[in-house]
Amino acid sequence: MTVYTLRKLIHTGIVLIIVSFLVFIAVRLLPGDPVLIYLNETENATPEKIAQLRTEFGLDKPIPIQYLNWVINAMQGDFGKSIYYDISAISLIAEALPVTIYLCLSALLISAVAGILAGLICAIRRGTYLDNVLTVLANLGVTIPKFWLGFLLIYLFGYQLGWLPIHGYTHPWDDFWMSVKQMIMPALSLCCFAISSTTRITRSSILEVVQQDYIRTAWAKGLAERTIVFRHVLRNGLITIVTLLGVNVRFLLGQCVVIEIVFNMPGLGRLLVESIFRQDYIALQGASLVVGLFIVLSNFIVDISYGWIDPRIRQE
Amino acid sequence: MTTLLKVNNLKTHFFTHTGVVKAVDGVSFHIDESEIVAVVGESGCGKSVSQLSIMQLVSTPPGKIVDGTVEFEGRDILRLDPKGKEMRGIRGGKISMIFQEPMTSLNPLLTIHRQLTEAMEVHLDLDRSQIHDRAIELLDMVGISDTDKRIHDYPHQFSGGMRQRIMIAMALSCNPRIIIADEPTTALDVTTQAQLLELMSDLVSKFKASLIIVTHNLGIVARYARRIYVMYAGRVIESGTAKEIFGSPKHPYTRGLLNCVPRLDTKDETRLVPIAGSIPNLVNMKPNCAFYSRCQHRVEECKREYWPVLRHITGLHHVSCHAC
Repeated sequence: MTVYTLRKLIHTGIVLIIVSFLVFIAVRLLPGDPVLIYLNETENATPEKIAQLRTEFGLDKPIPIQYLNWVINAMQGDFGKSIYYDISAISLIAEALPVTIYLCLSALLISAVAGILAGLICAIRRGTYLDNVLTVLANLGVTIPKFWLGFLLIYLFGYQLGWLPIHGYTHPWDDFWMSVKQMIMPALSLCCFAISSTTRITRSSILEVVQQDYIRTAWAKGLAERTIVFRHVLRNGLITIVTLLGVNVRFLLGQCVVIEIVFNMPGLGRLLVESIFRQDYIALQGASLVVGLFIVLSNFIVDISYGWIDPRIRQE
Repeated sequence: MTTLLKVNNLKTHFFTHTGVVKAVDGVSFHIDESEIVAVVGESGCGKSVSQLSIMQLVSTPPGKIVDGTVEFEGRDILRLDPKGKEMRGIRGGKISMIFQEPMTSLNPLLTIHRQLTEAMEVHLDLDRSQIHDRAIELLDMVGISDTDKRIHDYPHQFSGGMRQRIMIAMALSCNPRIIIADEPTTALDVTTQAQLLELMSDLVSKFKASLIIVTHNLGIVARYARRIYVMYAGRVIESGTAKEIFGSPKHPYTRGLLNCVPRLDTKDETRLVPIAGSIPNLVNMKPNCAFYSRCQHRVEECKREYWPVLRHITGLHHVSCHAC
């Protein structure tokens, strides 16, 4: 397991380098000149001023040098100074990150628990009324657009019923109940797809496991259904489920951009979008790198889980 | 000898899109204490399904036990709830099974220790360390070396023959009265087959258990079984002691089967004769003799009449045939 973990760690490192490179390149490929936009705001764009700013931002150096400078500084926790806000990008990210983590983690947790449970019930009670209802709901959930569901929830629970605040974000350590109430609708609209896909994948993966010979062996031993389901079936279905959870992390991080804007939450997604509009390339590449970091991290955790679940992978 | 298990008129049907498959259609057999009985037949003749039905392990749907009784310890165990406590007590505890595929019959994610001890935890009144000791002892008995270490290994670290030995240890672990071995050696190479069969028959007599071997290998049957049931298309078509069946086979199908087996005790270079035709499609079968189309001894009656019931000949020998 140690060898396996080490190998995966090296893989992760390599991927991270590639990610940082791609982020840097993608941001540089964006049209527009950040210096001009910056000067437009302060309204004194003389050629001398432009040249001076270029030197200040390090934009006069060749691209590979710029990249290296950025990576070396980023590793020390310095992402540069945001062009728009004139404060360090890292503090912008640090402010936005908890919001996104809170949102995505809630959505991931809800989708994992509800999806796995629903999928398990569907598979074990296959062909029953309950299975049919849940399967139809799951199919529906996959097809509903997230932002539309968000607006629908806002209209129903926020506007018509007035049960929940329609937008905003509060840190749980400031006002716990308020933060939970504000999180319900965004988390639900965000995880709708993930719940549905988890249900569907869990159902089909469990149905496949149930037909395996070793499950018949377990029945032939006289074990109780509960033991068979949790010890034999679920564990074997877990590989597929864990893979899906990894996919869900990527998906949630991508979708939270939309949700944060619909519900007006000051998260990483909103920071990304706003940075693009403001041509704030410093904040943009910093925030993109952080998102990339989380995705690479989730992949690493998924890989480690494979080893933990399956001895054949562990001892490869 | 007292009868341990008695199957009466068992019918297990599969309800598929194309029609009803009568995989087991009115099968009766019994097994006595400390007896080895063989159930013989081609693939798809219902021999495995009949055994799974005893344990109520036929997957429902599409399968369903539609009729029949299985008398065991004074009651009909087909009346028990398949997932209920009493049926679970019988499975693995009183009647255990060894399956055909050793490569896929063990859970790949659990250690041998886990899989060997879980049945004992359910059925035996022993504490953790006693169960562990018994597990080691069982593995020693089935010929696995270095058991202290290997018991914590996973199935993929063992060969097919070794895994089947582990399956045997599992089947014996709770001192069952009956072991049902469903083609236990079919997936293994010939030398391993012989070793395992020898081991099984030794251990079965040591544990004073009865053994039902399901197989299509007549060589196994001749060597180990006391009595034989020959199945064809979901029914028993001939039964009797091994001597009766091998000495004077009556049913054309049984004779056909024996003609396909190479023998060392015939002098001439006699050719092996395969049975003409192939096994019938079991979907929506006609009620007359299923062997009719392949039979060389068929008479007019065979087409007109219902499939005949087993008729007594001599001793324990019974046959289901109009023509003989």
